[in-house]
Amino acid sequence: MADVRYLHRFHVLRQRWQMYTLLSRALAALTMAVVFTTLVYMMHGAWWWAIPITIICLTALLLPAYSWKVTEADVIRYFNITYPEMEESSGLLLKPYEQLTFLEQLQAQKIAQALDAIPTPRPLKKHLRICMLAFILVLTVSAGIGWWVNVETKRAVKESGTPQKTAVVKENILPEISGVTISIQPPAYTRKAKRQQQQFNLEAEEGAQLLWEIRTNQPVAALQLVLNDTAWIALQATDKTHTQWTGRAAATRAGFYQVQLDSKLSDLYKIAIIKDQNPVINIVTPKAYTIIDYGMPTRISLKVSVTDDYGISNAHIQATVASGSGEAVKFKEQPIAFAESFSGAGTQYTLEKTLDLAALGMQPGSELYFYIQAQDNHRQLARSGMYMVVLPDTAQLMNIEGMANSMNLKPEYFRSQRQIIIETEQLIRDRDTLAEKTFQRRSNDLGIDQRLLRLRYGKFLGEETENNIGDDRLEEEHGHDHAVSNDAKDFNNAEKIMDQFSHKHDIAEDATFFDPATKSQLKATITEMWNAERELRTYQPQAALPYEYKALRLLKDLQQKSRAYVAKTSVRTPPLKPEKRLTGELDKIIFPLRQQQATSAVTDKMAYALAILETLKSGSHLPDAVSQQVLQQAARQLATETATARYLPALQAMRQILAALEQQQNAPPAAVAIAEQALYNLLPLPAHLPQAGNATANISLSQQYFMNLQKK
Amino acid sequence: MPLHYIVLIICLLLLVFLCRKEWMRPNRKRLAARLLASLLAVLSLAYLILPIGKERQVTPAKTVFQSIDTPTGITAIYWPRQISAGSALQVQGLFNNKGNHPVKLLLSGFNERLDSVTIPAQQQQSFIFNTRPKQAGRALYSLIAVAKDTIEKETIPLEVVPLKPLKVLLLAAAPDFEHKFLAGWLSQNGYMVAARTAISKNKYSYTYLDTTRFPLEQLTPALLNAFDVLVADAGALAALNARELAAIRTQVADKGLGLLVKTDSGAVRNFYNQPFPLTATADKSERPVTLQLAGTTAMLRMEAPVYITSTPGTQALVTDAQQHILAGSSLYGSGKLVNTTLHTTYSWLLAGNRESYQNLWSLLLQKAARTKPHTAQWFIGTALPRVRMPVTLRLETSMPQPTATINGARLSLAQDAVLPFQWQGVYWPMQAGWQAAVAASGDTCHWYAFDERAWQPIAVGEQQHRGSITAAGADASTLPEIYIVILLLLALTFLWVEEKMV
Repeated sequence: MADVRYLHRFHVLRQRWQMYTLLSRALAALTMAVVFTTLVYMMHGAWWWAIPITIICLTALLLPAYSWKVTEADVIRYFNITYPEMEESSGLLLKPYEQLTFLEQLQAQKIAQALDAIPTPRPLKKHLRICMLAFILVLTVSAGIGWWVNVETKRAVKESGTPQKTAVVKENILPEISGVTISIQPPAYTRKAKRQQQQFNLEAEEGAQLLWEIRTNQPVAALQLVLNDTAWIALQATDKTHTQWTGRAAATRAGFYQVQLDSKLSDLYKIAIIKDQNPVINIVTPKAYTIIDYGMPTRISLKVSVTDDYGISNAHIQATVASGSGEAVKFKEQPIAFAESFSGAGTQYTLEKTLDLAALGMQPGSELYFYIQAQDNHRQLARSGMYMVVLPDTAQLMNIEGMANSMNLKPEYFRSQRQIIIETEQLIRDRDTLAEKTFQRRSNDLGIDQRLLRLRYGKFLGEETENNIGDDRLEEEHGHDHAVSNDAKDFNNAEKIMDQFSHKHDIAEDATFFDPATKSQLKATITEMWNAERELRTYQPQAALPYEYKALRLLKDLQQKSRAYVAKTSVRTPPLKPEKRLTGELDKIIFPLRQQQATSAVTDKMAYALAILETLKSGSHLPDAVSQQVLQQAARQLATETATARYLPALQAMRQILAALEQQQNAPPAAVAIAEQALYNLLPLPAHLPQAGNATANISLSQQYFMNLQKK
Repeated sequence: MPLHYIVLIICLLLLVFLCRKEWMRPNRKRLAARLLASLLAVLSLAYLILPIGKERQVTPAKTVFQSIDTPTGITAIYWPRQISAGSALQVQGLFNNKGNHPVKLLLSGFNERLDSVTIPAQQQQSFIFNTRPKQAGRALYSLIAVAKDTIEKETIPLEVVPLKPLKVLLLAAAPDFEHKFLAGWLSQNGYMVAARTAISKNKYSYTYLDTTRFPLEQLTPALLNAFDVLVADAGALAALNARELAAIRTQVADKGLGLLVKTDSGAVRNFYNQPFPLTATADKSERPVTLQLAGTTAMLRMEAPVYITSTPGTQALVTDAQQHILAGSSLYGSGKLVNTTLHTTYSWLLAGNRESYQNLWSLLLQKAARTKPHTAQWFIGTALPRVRMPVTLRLETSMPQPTATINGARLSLAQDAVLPFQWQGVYWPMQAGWQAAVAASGDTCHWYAFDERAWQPIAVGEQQHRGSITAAGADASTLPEIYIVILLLLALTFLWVEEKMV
């Protein structure tokens, strides 16, 4: 019997060893998995591969033949190799003591003592440590790479403005082509750097220089690019083996292209063109039509925002001042620069400028027209809409034809708005010479005049006549008696009873003399009069003047409107004499004749193509030659529509269908579906046109009925 | 066919293998039973795989009484089977949703979703889909009901027939925009237009669009016979001499020529405006008027509109919001009279509102136009013809002894006892899809036969209405598959249990 103590010791060691091996193997597998996952992530940008890769690595390293299993023989071998004092006889300790020969028993006793002296070894601890370190290192590095890739993608997305979908799009390329590099040199105005891509579908700024470098895996006789089915670019071989080819073109038209290798054509690849946008000008202030009334500051603060996609090189104001009236209108045009300087690099500017109208030479009655013009790096001009600023001529307002008579013929309490303005101005001039009391009284009187005028116009709006506070000149009109005599006849008169309690006159809704537009303007006038009255009654005639002028201008506008209306209704033409009409000599006049033939639209054919595609779906029989021609025409029509790149798959599908039909085969259903959808989207809505009803001809019974009905 | 052989060979091999296994077993108890069970199992397996008895000759489906509630699904449907190019397709129906989820109904065609509607849970609701088909010819649209998964998928066959352009003669008392734009619009769309416009006394300007020159100085019966519609303003008609007017009158009354008159309040009363008395409004100001025509509305600015007073026998075509009539039609003999008081519809074209212009003039011209004679017209007697069900076909023709074929096979026609021009026959469609009916004249009428399983809820409803229901495909001649499955399971269970019992 072997010593149980040694057996146990060996057993413990074996278990620990086995666990260490297992752990280090697992760690190694995880390390490998991390490395592979990082590689996959760098290529495809997807993390979910981690799970299958880990499972595969673990299975590959742990499963085969339980390689991590440690047997007792391994432990003995380890002792024999590691400790010379065991004298290559560790195995003796495991055998039953009785079975050993005498010599062996002696040896066993000897090494048992040696074994007691040896501390429990820790095999493979170093190995485990290395595995652990490697794992941590790899994990750190791959985390770093993951973070870097993430940041890089975000930066690229930010730079290009659009997500880099290019890495995801899968292209079908000819088997002979091993690779392509397309260099895109954007034009100078974009201020963008040259870039390269490894795929055929490309997107370039308008006017960019494109350089294709195509590598083939075998020598090729000729290589061409077919642009939009119309232009061919022959590529030049740059090496002797004819496997490197280059060619150039400028990106001018959006569409598609194919690579033609000898006589073989590739799939269609799209060319998308990014056009330069015109500058966009947005005028924040002032409004499109501004009137500067009397008393308002003659300055216009201009606030403009100008944006462009690549850069603005210049912007200025183009101002025109029109002064004078009638035939003596004079125009003065002048450009006005903004204070900002334009470098051509900025894509957005907020420009501000204060226009001093007096400095522009504007007098009352003048008008200022201006627009903003901006130019971008590509020398594209954009201009804003025309804006207008008007300084009304107060003298013109006061001037009324037929006012040669300077006498005031109207009753005094009906002073006109014009009279009020004249008197206000007089009051302002006389202010220095007048006593304070007199000045205030006159100002108050003017306020009362303004009020009377307001009440007068207010009547048109159906406003109630107010009690005239502070003025005894206005007669009390409203004081009539509601109480009426009691008459026995009226005993049952409901109307009368209601009259007694109702207040029936001056209802705003009943005052329907004017249309709503006139009413609203009248209301605006009255508001101005209110304001003027307020200022006059607080003894501030200077502040009242702008309101008075505005009220006058609005009143004049109203008068002009009513005049136009009256003129229109009063037209009376003299009665016609029919017997005298058209009695002139007409024999020299020829009969005008017009004759023309209209041509039918292409879209008709496309509508038929839709129905033909629909029959292809059932796949029962192949279409005839005429139908195939219609399909070919539709394909041609599709090819002209590929500028948007939206119909590129449809064009490809259509060609696939035509190729299949040419070989007397059924068209692939997926292609039919794509082509059908594109054609449907491309077709305009059919026009709604008149169509005669149907009737079966020559039905004698119906005709007999009809004849008999006619007879009656 | 090769599939059949492969399956048969595999089954035979399986049978031989199983029998050999049973035979070689040392325990020979119940050997016969085991062999029989193996044979049955293999046979039923083969039956389930192979479509034995599923290809049958045309045999009428049996009707069995069965009482079922109205099923979930489309319980009513209607759409025109044939429309002319440019018209709208309207699919109307009723959906009965008994489930606990809302159902989305989708009309799609050419891989595009055209219209959709959602039916709430536990409700029966009607639906209307609108679309303007763009194809010319036959196409299959589909109607899909989706809740959590697809409940029903049906085919909507539709034929769009090309337009047959009308021939229009225009008479105008003075050159005006209304005539000019109308002629331009018609000729752009391939319609033949001839116009005679008075420019002075006895002086005319002639316009021929899409046609050769021919004399228009005198309106003769032969000349009028060549046109479908005569469009004239009241002034031009009043200026015609008695012979011309009489020619127009006979053409309209006897030959069915359409007469479209642009009338105004000052017009002389004559046969063409007799049914359309006019009233002018007191308000002469210009204002926008909302016109209602053929289910659509359009805004038109009008000055001093003139209304047509409604009289018995006239039909209102265009009205304003207050139901004042602005265009109406009336029968005159075998032809039609259309009068309208609209004079400024060209402003729609100038404003880019092509849709309203087209709607109005399509309506007016279509109402007036002379009907096109057909030698034969087909009517399909069944709303939803199905495969393996009889379909009644009706032919209207003036031919004395018509012969007709459907899909190349001759159809026997029986003459109607009362209406001698009607002929009737019964056809059994064999395959789902378009069926071509040809009367002897040569033009083909296409109609669609549906699958047996199509429009199942409607079929159930219909049969239930009659007190019976069609159990589609459940003939006595074929065993339902469930019995075969049970047999297979029994045989296999026996084989398994028998082994355990030992």
